[in-house]
Amino acid sequence: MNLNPKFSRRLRKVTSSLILTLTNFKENSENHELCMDFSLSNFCHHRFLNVDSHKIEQQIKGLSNKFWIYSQPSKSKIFKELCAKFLACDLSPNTCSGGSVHYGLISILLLLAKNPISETYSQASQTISKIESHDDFDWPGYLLEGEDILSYFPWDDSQIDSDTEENSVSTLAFMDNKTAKNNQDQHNQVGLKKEGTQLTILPANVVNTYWQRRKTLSSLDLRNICSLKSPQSSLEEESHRISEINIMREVLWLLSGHENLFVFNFKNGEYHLSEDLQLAHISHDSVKHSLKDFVRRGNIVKRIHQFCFSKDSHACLTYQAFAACLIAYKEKLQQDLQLLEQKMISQQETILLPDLHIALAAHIQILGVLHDVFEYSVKLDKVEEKNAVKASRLLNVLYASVLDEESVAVQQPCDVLTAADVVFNMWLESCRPYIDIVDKWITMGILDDTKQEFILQRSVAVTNCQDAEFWQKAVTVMTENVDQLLPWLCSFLNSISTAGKSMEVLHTINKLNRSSEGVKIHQGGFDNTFTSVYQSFYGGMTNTSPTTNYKPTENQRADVLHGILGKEALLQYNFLKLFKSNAQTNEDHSLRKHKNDRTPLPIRILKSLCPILQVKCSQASMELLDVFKTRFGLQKVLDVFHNFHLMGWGDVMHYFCTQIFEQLLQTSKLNDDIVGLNILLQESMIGRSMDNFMITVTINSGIGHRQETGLLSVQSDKDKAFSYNLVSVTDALELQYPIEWPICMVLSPQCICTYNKMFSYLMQIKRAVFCVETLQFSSLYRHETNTETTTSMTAEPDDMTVGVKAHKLFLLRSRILHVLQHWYGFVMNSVIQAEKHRFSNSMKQVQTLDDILTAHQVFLDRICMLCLLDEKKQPGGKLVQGTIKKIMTLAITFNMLWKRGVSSIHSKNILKFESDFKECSEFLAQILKTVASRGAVPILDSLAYALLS
Amino acid sequence: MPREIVTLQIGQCGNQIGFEYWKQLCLEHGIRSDGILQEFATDGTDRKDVFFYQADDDHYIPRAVLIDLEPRVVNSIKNSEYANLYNPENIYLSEHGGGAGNNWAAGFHAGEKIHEELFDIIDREADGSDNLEGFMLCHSTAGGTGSGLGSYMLERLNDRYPKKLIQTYSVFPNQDEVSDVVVQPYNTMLTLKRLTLHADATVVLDNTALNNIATERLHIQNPSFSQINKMVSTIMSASTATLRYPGYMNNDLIGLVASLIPTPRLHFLMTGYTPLVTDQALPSVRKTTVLDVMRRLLQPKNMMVYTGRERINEHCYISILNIIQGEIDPTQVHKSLQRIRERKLAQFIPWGPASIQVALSRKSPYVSLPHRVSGLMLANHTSISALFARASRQFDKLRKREAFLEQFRKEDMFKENLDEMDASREIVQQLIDEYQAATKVDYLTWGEKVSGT
Repeated sequence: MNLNPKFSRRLRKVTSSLILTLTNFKENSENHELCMDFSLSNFCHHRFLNVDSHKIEQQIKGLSNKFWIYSQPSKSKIFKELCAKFLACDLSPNTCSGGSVHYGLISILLLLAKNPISETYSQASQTISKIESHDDFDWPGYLLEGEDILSYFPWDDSQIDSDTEENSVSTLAFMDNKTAKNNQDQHNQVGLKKEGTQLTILPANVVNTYWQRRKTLSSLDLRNICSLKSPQSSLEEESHRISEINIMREVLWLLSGHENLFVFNFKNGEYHLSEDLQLAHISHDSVKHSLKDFVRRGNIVKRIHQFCFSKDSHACLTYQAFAACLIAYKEKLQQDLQLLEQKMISQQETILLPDLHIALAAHIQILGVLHDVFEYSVKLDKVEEKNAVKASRLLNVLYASVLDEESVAVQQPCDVLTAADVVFNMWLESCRPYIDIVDKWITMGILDDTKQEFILQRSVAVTNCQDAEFWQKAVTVMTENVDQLLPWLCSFLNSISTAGKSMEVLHTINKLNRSSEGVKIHQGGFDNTFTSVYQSFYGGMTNTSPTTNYKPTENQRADVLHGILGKEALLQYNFLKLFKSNAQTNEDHSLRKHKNDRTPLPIRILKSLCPILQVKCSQASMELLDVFKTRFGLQKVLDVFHNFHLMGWGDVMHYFCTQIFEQLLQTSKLNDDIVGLNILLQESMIGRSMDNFMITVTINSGIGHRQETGLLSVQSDKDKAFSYNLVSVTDALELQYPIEWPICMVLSPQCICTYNKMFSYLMQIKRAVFCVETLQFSSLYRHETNTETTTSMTAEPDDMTVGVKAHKLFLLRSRILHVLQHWYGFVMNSVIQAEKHRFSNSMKQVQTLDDILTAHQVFLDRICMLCLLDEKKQPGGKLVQGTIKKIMTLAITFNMLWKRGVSSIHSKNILKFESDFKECSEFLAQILKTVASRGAVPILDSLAYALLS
Repeated sequence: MPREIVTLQIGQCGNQIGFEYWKQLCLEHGIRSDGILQEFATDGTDRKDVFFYQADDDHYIPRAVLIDLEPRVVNSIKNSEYANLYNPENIYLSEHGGGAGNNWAAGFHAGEKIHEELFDIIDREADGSDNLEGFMLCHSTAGGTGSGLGSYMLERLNDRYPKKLIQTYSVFPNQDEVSDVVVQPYNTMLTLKRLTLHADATVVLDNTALNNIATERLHIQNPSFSQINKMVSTIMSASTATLRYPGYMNNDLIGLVASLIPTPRLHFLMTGYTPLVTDQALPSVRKTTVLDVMRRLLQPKNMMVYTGRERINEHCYISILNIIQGEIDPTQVHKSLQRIRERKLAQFIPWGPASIQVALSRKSPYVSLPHRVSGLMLANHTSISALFARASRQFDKLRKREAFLEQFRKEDMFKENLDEMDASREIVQQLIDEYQAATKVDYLTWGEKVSGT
């Protein structure tokens, strides 16, 4: 093809809009450019357009052979003939027969043909080629094929009218409305040609040309009626007199959507009743009255038509589905109207206007309902509204009207279509895009929503699955009151979004690990949700749970086949395909009466849609959970954090900590040696048989400078900058464990922070306990031998004997130990161990990632709350922690005091210690009691009791 | 990295209960009688290395030293199926094999003579441990070897390893029967002095109570020693459960006992255990929740120390430690404690906090018991002084009469005078007094004369 610039520009424009429609990629985006290149290259270079005539001939031959093989010899013959004929004819003055254009067109048709075997071909009447001979034309048949054709029936209601003024009138053309079906246009064209020539014989042979009435003043009517003119004098008017049948036929044409009518004027997009109606036997008012309804309905039909063929209906898939339904309904309406018109014309029974009303009652009602639907949905559409809003509003209105209609529905005989049926079908079909989107998302993980009409949107801000905020923020709801708009879906929105996110995570995992074994996303048995739902509603399968019905039968079939065919895989495959294709052929979505056993719609949805969605959602979520558990060892990681940070492995951590504490007792400064610390950690793990744990110790100097993990980094000496705080010396120690991506969704940085906080806290408590616990009684007397030398140091007189002092110190030690050990025991047993127990129980019941996240968060929150570490939420917590810190400091200083030996301790010191400690412990018990009595943490009551003794 | 514990079994009684103890431990850890791990013993989370060490051929060997002055009991051990379990170098049998003849002094002096060899073994064991925590001594106070040699060991161990913990399981004689050891009061007194001064914690096992329990509760008419020893071994293994099945807390011995012992001398602990079953246990209909177990442990009839009628008076608990094993819901623990405190099921000292601690541990996966939950109680109760008081009274009676003192005078210590005996009596009296004082509020200001370390 020669690419002249204008053509290529146009080509580019058209391609661009094609891409936009199909994929919704924005212009000038990278994806858009790629698509553009792809399409253009296909257009330019694809051999498709340079058709090889031999190949096409081969294909034709092959196809006709295929017809033979499939026992359709007639088709084969006709196909061959038609192809030959087509190749022989001239398409246009420029092309000659047998040219590449012919072949090109044939190849396009062959490619577009979906399934030539299963199509039944009925020989089209040869009207297209034979334009001339219409004398033995099969008019009724002709009429039945098309819709907007006015026909001429040869009835002998003709009146010879010698009015010659009619001859000049030829401009009144029966222009039919262009409909969507292009082949009808051809018919129309044909009709048009015909009419122009025969306009003059209309009054003579066919019908009163009532539309050519001259306007007369109404007063004249009276005069005419009262006049004594002979009937012949009013012959003129008579020929233009409109009769009831005319009116009825015009009504039918009105409802078919024609604009050019006499009775009904079409102005400004609306029909109005013409004022000029004069019937012989009915007064004008009554005619107006009886035609009012029809006018309204006509407007509605027009509206529907406009909507269906406007750009609005292409806005989103839901609208498209809705428009398709409307068109189907319109077709049905046309059919009914044509039947009616036939009946009228055949004049076998008398039909009057009231009868027309009765006959069209159902449609009138349906059209009324559709009008309401339009009023509340499409009419309210604003340009700037998002598609999601529009789509959900439409679905909402449809749903509401279905409910309304069903509540007032009266059971009709089988064939009559009620409003309930129609609206229900419309609603079901309009839901189809939504259901398909949901289906694809939760089964494949792809949110294929090019028009952005689904109620859940993938938020643009969080594109990467590996973002920290992915899980929380990836999916947003587009409208506010979802439960009002989509009540049948809203209960599932959470599970759908979870399932969708899970699938996306699975896909990303697969993408990242292309080399290693990918995660198997279940592909088998992808049952289309919509088909199942459709079947269940329209009585294909009468069971309430289509999924369970599908799979066993498939399996049974497969088993039976396997038995019959043995191991022949190919044979099996083909057989299965055959059966499957049979099962899915009845997918014609035309308007049908559905079996309604009087259960209300929400319940029917519950029975049909909900189980399927539930199964699929839970499948997706469970798969993700599986992957987490098996591939990434979520439980193992959680256990590591529990065992190390929360000191679940008491013996390991005890050994590790006591070594550090002992060293602290001597130097009172934390050892800088990271390597040594790591070796210590590894040593303490020796007793346990376990896999390699990558947990390491680092020292966090806490001024924003983080250490890298690893054994070889050296810490910068910033200890001096610390405010000297006895208890928090150990806070600089931190345990680090590397976490890879999907697990860090569960163990977010905040969680890890909490774990670290708990670890520091536990270290503090352990250190205090250690300091007091390890005091040996005998070490108090260690310096006994030096009493002589030290008496000079203690210049002040001491009123207590050594024995009494020692005794007091012993008892003080036991009291301090009691408090600390109780608090420590409380934290370890009643808080950490108990909560872990609870957490493990809830982990056994998780179904989605959301559940895991919640359970984990609850676990951490509860620990913090029960330990009163959460200072913001618990005002008493700060006091408690402060007092405990004081007691811990007391413990450490007590240790130092003890080491000095009893003789160098003055009794005043002892008394001071005692009183300090007494104050602290009583205060602590008081606060704990208060906090416990407030009810939030009742567990503290027993602790307070224990401390208060 | 464990804190290892070396067990010393001294004397006939000591070796017998020690033997049962190691049998129990092997069962719990899935070790065969020759020290090889059973095939089904795949649980890697228990700490065998506290009490066992692994030889080069993956042989588990107890860290035990078996000492006796006569060969009978040790030979019977060597002839049992567990003969290959012990390290033969750790077994010390005296050459002359005559025993101590139920004479404390004989046992004591025998210790002086064999000091070197004994401490060779002990030093070797201590060196073989990375981080020795302490020693566990099993002996009786009534006989000769267990009491005499045991006392000697206590003194020397304290000298040599001052920083290590020494815990003893001391079997006190049955008061109800007239035993064949007439001089048991003398032996008991002399041993008690060493126990008071040199041991860090003593678990008192009273034969009287054990017998009572066996007859009444387990319905055994004449309980044999092996049955009683089985009970003792249950207690011993339960008390070390948290060391061997590490949990959240109480991972070393000092943590267990530190809270029980307020002052250096009041370190005598009573035990209670529930549920007690014999081998032919009928299926029990008892409920075994944490609260039930703790409640039952507080009942006097489950106590393994017979304290006579004095129990009813103002004697009270100084501190309690409950070690609960089995499938426990940790959320129940604090509720049970609360219930006990509310109902005042236990009477506590007036001068200090009411200290009940609970240590949770799991059970051995290889030993199946009919009960889901079992519990051991280690309590420091002031009424244990009644036991000492009884022993003192009997001692006084004998001492007044100067009965049976000839064997004692044969030994060096008593050649010149019997000051040692009186000194021991003095110490024991101080101990009883201190226990009495601990029941009153003014214990806070009670001073005591400092005696030598």
